[in-house]
Amino acid sequence: MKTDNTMQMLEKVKRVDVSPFLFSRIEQRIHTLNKNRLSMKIVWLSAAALGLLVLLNIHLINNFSGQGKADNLTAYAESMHLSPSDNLYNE
Amino acid sequence: MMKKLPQADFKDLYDKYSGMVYNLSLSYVQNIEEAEEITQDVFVKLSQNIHRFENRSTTETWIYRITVNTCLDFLKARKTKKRFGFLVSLFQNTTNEPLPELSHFNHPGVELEHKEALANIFRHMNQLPERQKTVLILARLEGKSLKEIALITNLTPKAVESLLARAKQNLAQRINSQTRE
Repeated sequence: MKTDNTMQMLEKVKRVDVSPFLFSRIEQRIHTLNKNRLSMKIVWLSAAALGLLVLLNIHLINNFSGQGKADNLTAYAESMHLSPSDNLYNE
Repeated sequence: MMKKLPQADFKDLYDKYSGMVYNLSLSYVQNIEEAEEITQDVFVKLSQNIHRFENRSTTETWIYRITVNTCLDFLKARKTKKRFGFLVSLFQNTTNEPLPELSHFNHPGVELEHKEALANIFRHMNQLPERQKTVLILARLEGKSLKEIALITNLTPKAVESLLARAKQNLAQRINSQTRE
């Protein structure tokens, strides 16, 4: 088959109409997609809440770390007139 | 903030371009069900991405581009499915039944008297490299000029011309070699 004949054959392909039900199927798909999609507002709010939680945790860890706890214990022992030293016989 | 397309505007867009999208998809897959699936995908993409449309090209060119890309993605996915379908059949406890054909020639725009010849041409066209196939479809089945094809494919008109010449040559060679066998 020559090139021209092939090209002429291709011109015999006719244009066709779309099924009348296709639009409602597309609408249904878009509707389902939108229903399942989280809004950007919710996404940002969740991210902000998570960030806040992380910051709070960092703050708490810094304030109540081992060093801070030992200082608090010494202050408490002194206020109760107790010796904070671990030497039993005051040698 | 995502701009939503009003329902009436979307219907107008659909009324104006659905025929174009559907017929172009048919040229790629030659199957009613698959062309409808691609048309659905294209309009879902359009409804979700309308805010990204910049007026650098016309709406028609933009929709053509989305349709061409969706068709090519669809064909790639079909190829992968076909490739891995063999593996799936190995692990599934089925009988020796042959794998079902993923698609068959079912083009509603082809009359019965030309069906055999055109099915053969499309079979060979489907084996062309994707850019050659795209250019051939746009030129011969969509009736687009070299300049319009260049805009859709982001190529220069000269490159389109050369691709089209190679596509025609390749297609004729494939068909002739089959005739000689």
